[in-house]
Amino acid sequence: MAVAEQKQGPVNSIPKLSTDEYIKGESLWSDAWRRLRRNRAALLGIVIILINIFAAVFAPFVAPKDFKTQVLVDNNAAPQWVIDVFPVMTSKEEGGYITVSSEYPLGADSLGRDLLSRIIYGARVSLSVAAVGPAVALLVGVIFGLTAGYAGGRVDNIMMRFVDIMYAFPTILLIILLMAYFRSSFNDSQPGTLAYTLNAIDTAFGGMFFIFIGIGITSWMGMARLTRGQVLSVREKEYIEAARSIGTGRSSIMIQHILPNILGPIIVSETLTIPSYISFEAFLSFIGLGVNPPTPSWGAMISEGARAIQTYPNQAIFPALALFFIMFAFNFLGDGLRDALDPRMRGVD
Amino acid sequence: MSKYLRFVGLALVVMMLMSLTLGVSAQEKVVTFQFGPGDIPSLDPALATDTSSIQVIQEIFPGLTRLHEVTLELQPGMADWSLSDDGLVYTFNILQGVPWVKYNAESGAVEEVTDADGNVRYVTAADFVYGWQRTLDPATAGDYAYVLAPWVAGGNAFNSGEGAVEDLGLVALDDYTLQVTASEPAGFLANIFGMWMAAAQPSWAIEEYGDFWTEPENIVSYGPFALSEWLHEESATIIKNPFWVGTEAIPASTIDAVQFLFLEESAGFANFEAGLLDVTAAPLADLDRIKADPTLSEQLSVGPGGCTYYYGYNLAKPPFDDARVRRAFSMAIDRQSLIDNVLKGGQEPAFFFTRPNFSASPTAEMYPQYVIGEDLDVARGELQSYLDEKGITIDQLPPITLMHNESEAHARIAQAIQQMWAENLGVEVQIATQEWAVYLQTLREDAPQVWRLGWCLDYPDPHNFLWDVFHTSTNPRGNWSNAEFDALVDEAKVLIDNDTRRDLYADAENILSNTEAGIIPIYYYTSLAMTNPRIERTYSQLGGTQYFEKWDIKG
Repeated sequence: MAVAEQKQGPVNSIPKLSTDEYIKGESLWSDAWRRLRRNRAALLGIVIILINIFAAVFAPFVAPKDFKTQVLVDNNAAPQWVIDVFPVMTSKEEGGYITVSSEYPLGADSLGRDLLSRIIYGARVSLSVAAVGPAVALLVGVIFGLTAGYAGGRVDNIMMRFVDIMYAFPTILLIILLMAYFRSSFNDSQPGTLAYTLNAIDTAFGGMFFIFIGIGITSWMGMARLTRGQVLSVREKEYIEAARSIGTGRSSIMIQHILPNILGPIIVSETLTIPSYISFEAFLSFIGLGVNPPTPSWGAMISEGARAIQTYPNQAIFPALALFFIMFAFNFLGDGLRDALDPRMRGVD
Repeated sequence: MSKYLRFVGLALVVMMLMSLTLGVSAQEKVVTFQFGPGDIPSLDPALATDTSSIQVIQEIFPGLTRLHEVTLELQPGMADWSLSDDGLVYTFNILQGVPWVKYNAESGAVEEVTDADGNVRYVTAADFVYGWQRTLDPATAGDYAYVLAPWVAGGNAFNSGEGAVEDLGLVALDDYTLQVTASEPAGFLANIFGMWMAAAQPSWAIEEYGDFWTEPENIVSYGPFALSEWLHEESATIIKNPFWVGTEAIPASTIDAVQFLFLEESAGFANFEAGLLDVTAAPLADLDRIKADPTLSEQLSVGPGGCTYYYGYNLAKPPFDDARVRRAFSMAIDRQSLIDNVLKGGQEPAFFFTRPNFSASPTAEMYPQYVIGEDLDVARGELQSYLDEKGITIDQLPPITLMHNESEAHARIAQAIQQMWAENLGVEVQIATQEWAVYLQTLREDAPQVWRLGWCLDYPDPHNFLWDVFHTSTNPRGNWSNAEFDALVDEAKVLIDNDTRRDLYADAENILSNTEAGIIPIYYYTSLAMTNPRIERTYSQLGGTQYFEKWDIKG
């Protein structure tokens, strides 16, 4: 969670606005969007993310094949261009071992399943995690941080010590423990119990549900800290005092006056944390604690492909490239958002 | 960064291997051998149950008799023997002049063990008596005691805690003569009496060190090799025992040491390709490349293995409490396609549990009427008749879990079979995996609906497959229990004539693998190994155990 901690407090001074901008009456958001558009790397990130979202949502229409249909005789098949790209691969015609088949744009895996289709369906897992992590972080972390920061005093103290305790667990280790626990103890439970219901939900999600819980449990603490810090920095500001003096209620101050003013750093921080959620899922799947087969996940595909990387490099490299692109896209977008949302950057570009 | 973890790990292993290899002087003949990942579970002959433990134990604690690893012929091990006319009394003449030895880490040499008076301790009949008694003692809780117990007079009673140790049919007539009285005569008893759990055990060392007597600094042994190093979870090394007398069946070793490295197949093969490992299993993922490569293909050996790969059911969990469902799932697997496209190692499809190469083995060719077959219409029909009787549709079947221990190959097989069941029966099953030690415990305590295991021969007789694994008294996994089956294997075990026994075993297989379908036999293993050409070796068919004393290194 190191990423979340770095992004503290860009909005802790009142922006110095020039007279021009007063005349245009431009809001922070349209201003930010204007600057984001000029950041090519961030735009590229947005495009890649949109492509991925599109592929994930419309996977059944985009993917050339079903992700789980096995054509066993086509195991490890590859098209000619893949064989040309990777010099270690030689086709059967040339005395090698690869079945050449143009049926599969990127090749087929060891059970004769289309790699491209599995990568496209795999985007669903990665993007779900990329959505669920921030959703939980924003929902729980922001409310928690807002409450603690605004209430202050003893409440703040108790709430933040709880966060400290949660923080003390190494995140990856905690997720591994949770996953191992869920998987082993919920697997064989009796119908009617909570464990059985949870396991049934997990089965319906192809094994993603427990990953969601694991990431959800560990994702919100950084956000809570960040939010609290931001609240502390703005709650003594004059406009809050003004709001309080005209009798605005607590919740109204928190939601209408404080939240909009601290949203920038929160969004930036969360965008930059998304790649770590994606890598958590890939890591879990890599070590076999992730999604259930045959649900494709990039981490699981890389794990399987890496074992045969000398023989079938395409089976590891293509899913790794997919993971690479989405991680970079989110990082570029996060960087771009930070530049765009930081008022101190105004006029710098 | 997690995806690099494996590569970093691999690099570390490579570095570790290099440092180890450098530490050994050039003249020594050292074989480096890949073992599966994880640790050796136990080096205690009374407790060992798995192939890697047994491999090491066979080299340091040879039994009274020994199977020839290629011909499967029974040879004298620590003793030759004679049998009384009624087939009940075995007299073993134990090899003389075999000292107990211990590796001295300071001098780096194997030394003879002496008693308090400074006399060399030799392996005697009393050590065997102690070993047998300790194995059978219920307090030892050895998992293989049940194989030995029914055959020694008084064994079952003692092992179940009811009889006394004095009532065992076990006498040391003198220092080198052991007399064993069997409870019933059977053709394969000399095999069982020579297994690892019936080896000699050092009473004084076990009493002194307790559970830690198998650690390298404590262990004493007597076989052609001695344990010199055991880095848990990493490697183990056995070195030549210069005091081993050498017999025809167990010659003195020409190689100086064997180092076992606990690695995944893929990591082992990467090391092999880098020239850092002498012998490794050929990983499934690289098999096509190995076969196509002119150099690698020559280093690949494909031989018969000693094991059967099978799926079991939990007969207490619906829907597998009904034979029709079990039969349908067995029939819906295309074994040949699995072998041709997933396994690729020349395995044989299995329809019976017993391996076909023993003299009393029934085979699918001999008893085609007992083969369950792969008729999809029949499979769907049986499943449908179950569904109709229950008044449910296929979607209303309880959720089905197929569990296997973690392994790349098991995962592929499971996914291929998952797809076959989905396609052929329309049933979606979930796959779950567990780590080996946890998995074995799960199978014992609460087996999942469908689970995988392999069974490797201990001695070449159907009794070792059918009685030892599935007789009700052995407490089979997955709640299998069938009185008719028990009666057949009980009847067959004491008969001498192999033709009669084969018929009985065929009837038993018919119940186990066909009509009641308690299990799904899937294939008979082959052993696929990569061997560095500098090694001269034998190719064991014992299902995992190699006899390194017969190996050599050229040049």
